[in-house]
Amino acid sequence: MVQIRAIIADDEEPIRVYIKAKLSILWPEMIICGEARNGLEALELIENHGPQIAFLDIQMPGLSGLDVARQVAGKCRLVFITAHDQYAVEAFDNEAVDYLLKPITDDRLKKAVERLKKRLNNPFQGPEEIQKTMQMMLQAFEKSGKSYLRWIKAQHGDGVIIIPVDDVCYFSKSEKYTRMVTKKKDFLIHKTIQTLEEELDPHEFWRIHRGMIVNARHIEKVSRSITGRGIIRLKERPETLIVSRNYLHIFKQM
Amino acid sequence: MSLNWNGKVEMKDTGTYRFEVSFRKSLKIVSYTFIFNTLIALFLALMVFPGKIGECLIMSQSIGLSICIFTLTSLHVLKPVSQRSQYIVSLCAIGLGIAVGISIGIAATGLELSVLHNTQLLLKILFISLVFGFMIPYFFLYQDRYFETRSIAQEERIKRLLSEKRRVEVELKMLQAQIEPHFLYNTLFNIQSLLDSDGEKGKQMLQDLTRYLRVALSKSRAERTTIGEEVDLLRSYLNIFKLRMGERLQFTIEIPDEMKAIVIAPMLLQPLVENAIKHGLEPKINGGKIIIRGKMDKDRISLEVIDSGLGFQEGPQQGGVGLINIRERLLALYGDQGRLVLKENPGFGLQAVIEVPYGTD
Repeated sequence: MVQIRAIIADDEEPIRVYIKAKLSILWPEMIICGEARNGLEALELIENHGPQIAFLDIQMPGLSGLDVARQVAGKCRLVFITAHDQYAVEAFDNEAVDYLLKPITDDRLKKAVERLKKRLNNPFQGPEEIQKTMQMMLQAFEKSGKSYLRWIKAQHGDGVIIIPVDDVCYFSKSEKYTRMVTKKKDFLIHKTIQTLEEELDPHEFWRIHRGMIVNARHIEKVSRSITGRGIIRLKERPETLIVSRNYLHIFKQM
Repeated sequence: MSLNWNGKVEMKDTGTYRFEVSFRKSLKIVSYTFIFNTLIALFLALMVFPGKIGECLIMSQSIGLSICIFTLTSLHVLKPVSQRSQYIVSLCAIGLGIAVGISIGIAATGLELSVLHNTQLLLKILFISLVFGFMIPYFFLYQDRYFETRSIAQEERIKRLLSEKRRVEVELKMLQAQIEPHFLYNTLFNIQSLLDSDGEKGKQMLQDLTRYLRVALSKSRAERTTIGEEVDLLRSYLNIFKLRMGERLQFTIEIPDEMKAIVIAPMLLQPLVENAIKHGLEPKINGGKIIIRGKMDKDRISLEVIDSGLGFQEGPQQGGVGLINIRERLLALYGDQGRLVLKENPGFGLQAVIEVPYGTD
């Protein structure tokens, strides 16, 4: 009989110890050939020991469980462990991978073991399907994690200060850099106007010009000159900004 | 003429603009001008040319309307782009309008051409036209301003409603933040795990969780708490993480005893610590250290959370939602007096400082 080897990867020691102990009872024929404290160690263990099964925590330092899985897909069966149900557990509870939600109950672990035993008898599934599942998981993960830029780093003295975007009155293009103007100070940052437009919340930050984005919350009023250009007066800055023709439509219904 | 008489335009504009005044708006401007002209005529008939109301009316209308029409048409046709050319075009249009207006006026009132030799009268008419002629353009501004003030009043109302909604949302988020489900599930699973392998540690963690929940869930905490109570909460919270993360987490709490009785809003420090763990130390392979430090002077206190973690991750998937909540709550509670400053020091993670006034309530 072929010996079954598995690895366990979780950054929290009590959990590794627990899972190892439970597995030794539920599946005495299986040998845990390695324990990893982070994603990089997990990858190394899988490369070096070639286990049939890997129990991977998703949130790990270095590399996440999903990153590890992407790199080793097709080399071993995967069982993910996490307290986060944001990845829509059921959707991925298929043949390609299994999924254990913390706190793991004995029954659920038993079920996972039975599934693994059954699957080990079947021929290995093509890496394509695993890749596909991984892709879906990653997408779900990224979607739920996606949010708008809320803080921006800027050089300040000999350190870096982190400015909430709410405090920024406007961004304007300035040769190689972008000027970030707040109530009292202004900073030069590396992000381009284009990048900022993609990353900032479009409901709060409006592009008004090829080289300018204004924070709508800081607008005192917008008047329209007879020549049809928009002129923005700011609440806490003396200068006025001009809305170019291409972006005037933002203010049309006002 | 919305020539921005008083607007400073510092940003040089590179795009091109087209002059667009809709037909409806032009009609409005013309009708306002008409009313304005009538008022001028009445004024003149009373004060300057007594008894000549008919002449005044005709004269004033012809001058006023021709200024108006000339200005509108010239701006429409020539579409001046820069501010300076707007000035020049408008000035020329006003001048031309006055000249044409006076001619039409003289013709229409049936005044003798000899009027032209009456220099004094002519100068008077010219002077009056110039003074009022330059006022007509203000209609444009007046109109814009009228709508602006209306929309500003509306905006204020919406703002008030929004700030109320925001306050409720912020409070709700605060309540949710006290017991984050992932924290609870992870901790419970750790306790479950430890009970099998290391009962003593498991019991310790259970006690810390209980202490944390007791403080976090106490009803009296909903509005205010003391720094001492907040520190107890943080110590339990960090003890739990210490057991979970082992050697990867060190922490020290340096809050002077005399600060512990100070009353502050709850859940200001906890999210900073949570942030330091979640984004600073947990994702770092070797972990690191957290220092919680309190300082006070006469009327202000500052509370710092410093970590040696990965620093602030900039990008669309950054964390910092908790930090935004703190900012919003500081603003709601202390206005300009409370602030949250985030700094990243080279080689040493993130430093978050909360500063609030003290002793004012």
